[in-house]
Amino acid sequence: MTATEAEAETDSAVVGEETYADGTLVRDPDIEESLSQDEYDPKGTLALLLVYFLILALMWTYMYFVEFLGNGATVIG
Amino acid sequence: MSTPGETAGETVDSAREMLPDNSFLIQYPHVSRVVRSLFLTAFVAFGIGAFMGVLQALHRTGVARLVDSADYYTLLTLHGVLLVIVFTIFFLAGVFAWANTRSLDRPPVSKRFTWFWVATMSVGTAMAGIAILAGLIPSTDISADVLFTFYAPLQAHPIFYIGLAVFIIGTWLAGIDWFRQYLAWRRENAGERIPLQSFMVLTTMLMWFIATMGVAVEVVVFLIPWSLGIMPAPNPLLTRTLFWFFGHPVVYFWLMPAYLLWYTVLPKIAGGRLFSDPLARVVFVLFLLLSTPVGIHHQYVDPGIAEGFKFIAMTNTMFLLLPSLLTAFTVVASIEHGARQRGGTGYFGWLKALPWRDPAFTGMALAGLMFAAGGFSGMINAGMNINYLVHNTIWVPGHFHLTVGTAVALTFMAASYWLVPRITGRKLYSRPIGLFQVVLWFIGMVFMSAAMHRGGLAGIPRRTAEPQYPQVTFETVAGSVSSLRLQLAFGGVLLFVSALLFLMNVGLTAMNNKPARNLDSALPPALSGPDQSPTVLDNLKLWALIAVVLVILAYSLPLYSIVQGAGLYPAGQEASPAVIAPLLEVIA
Amino acid sequence: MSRLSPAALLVVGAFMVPLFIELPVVLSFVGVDLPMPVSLGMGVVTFVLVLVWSEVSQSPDAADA
Repeated sequence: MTATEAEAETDSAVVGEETYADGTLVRDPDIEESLSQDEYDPKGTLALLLVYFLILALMWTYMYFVEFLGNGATVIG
Repeated sequence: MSTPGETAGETVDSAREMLPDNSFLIQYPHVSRVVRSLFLTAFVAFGIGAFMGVLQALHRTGVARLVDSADYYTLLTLHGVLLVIVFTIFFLAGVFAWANTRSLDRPPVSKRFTWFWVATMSVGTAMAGIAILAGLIPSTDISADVLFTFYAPLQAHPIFYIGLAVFIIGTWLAGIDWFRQYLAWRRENAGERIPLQSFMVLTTMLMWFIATMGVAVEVVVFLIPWSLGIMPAPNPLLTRTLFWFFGHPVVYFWLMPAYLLWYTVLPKIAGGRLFSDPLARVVFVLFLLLSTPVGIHHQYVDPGIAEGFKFIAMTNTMFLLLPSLLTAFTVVASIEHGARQRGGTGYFGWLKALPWRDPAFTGMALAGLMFAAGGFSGMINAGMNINYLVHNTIWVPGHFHLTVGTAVALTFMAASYWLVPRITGRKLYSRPIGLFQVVLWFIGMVFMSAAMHRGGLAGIPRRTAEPQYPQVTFETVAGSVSSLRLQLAFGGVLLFVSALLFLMNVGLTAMNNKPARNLDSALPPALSGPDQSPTVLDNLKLWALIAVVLVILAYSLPLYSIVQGAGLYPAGQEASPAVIAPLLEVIA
Repeated sequence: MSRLSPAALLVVGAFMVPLFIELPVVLSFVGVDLPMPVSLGMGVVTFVLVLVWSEVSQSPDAADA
């Protein structure tokens, strides 16, 4: 890890009133809590990915019905 | 505070005084200039390529035919080459030059060498571009209407192939530059873990060195001598196989810089930290290993390759889903960390706490969402048997407009809103226009790509100026073909407007007299740092060696059997010059 | 007072586009034939409703309306 990366942990990474100093939102000034690895449980990520896998499964099912039952056999080889 | 020798103007000088000492522009004014120069080429190519894109969308759908159908293929070549070779690779070279310097915290070894590879890439690009554009002028006998997939028997003017070769050499020199920078760092930091961004740059370039061997052999050994008239026409299947040896890993060459931005910049913009540094390293190592031995999955319908080799390529391709699914988890978890630090709660409620007003965030998030959809259509493409349903239909352009056209291009645009102020010292011209632009790209792509996928399922071909045939009726699952055509054209127009807004916004930023302030270049460290990962992950020699072995395993037998089958120069092969009129007469 | 900022409306609107483009396909799967223009029209109407809901001044009673 470089020195610059280590420095980012300090408050200098939080820009205060200069939220849009560079035209983009650098960091919300009202971040007060800092969430460590032990305190953080990415359950929202789990929820989103489950939704994605559900969609994938449904689309595969859809492929089967629409494309395989709708077309003749595909010969390989 | 300003550095002598910079020629960016007075406003930047005044802007610099407001920048903190650890700003990238203050620390590395020279690298900033290199990045600006690379971005300029990338954005010019993007503008021209996007214009060609909207012409094609209007042409093939029959909404407005502004050019002759025979010239469609010149526009298509220009669209493909300018967007997926010039725009992407120049932009990623800029990102890599920035990322390698920032994370190693030292400049490249030699300024002269850096400008040398920038010039080499630019000269190669100019040669290839001139050859393509000359195809629009009938009085010249120069043309290169060979599409992005430049294999025999379609033949281009030698200047096109030579330009490509020069360009590829330029990218190799760039990679060498970044490795020299790393080795200089290593001499002073023995035993340290490679900084994450530099690790990503190095693994990507190792992958690129291996992947471009195929295209180098194709172009230098076969296509250039053939186009110069020195050698006879090469075996088309051999040149196809060598092209796809490079043609699939090149998509990861576009994607891995986008991943670099998702892993390192996006968590910061979201107000969080990267979830896991080791996981990010594993993903890049997997791409290094698996990107290249999969190219044959583009050739599932090529009759000269045995089914068994295709099956191996399919298996490798399915393994490639793993790093992308790992990325889906890590990146979403890093964003969620930002949302929770900003006070987000619940299973889905945290999504509201994300900085949606920031075009850099929203653009990258929408790009990631589109990539999830592209992942599904990619799985369809990768399956040997299902591929037959969609092969050479417009489904395939639908797929890669989600991946390279959105996951990569929209990420690059979004990242520009964050990066351009950091390399120019100028304030972003308009944040609301930026936000509108990235959302418009998303909406335009939903219209265009959904219509393309659906049209492909109905059997509409790709790479066709006039896919309207009186004898054939395309049957769609839902809706009519004419409505699909309108959606495609409408989406294409929205995308073009979005591209114009982007170029305008970036152009006005580059000329903005308002200085950017407080540009913090530091990126937050990962929640789970590199010290928690095995050091073997940083053993680049080992991974490069395994990657080479996998490529040999996947390609030696197929290449051997192709050469055994028809030879290097089969008799009776003829070049196809880019004269399409007789072909059109045959169809009519 | 608006409940959604212009940026939020933009993002919400963007997310509705794929939903209403895919709706006819999903419905055709269960045998319902919904023309694409009708589906997109429904999308526009829904977005207008969201817009109205967003612009109606916020009060505890109206929150669930």
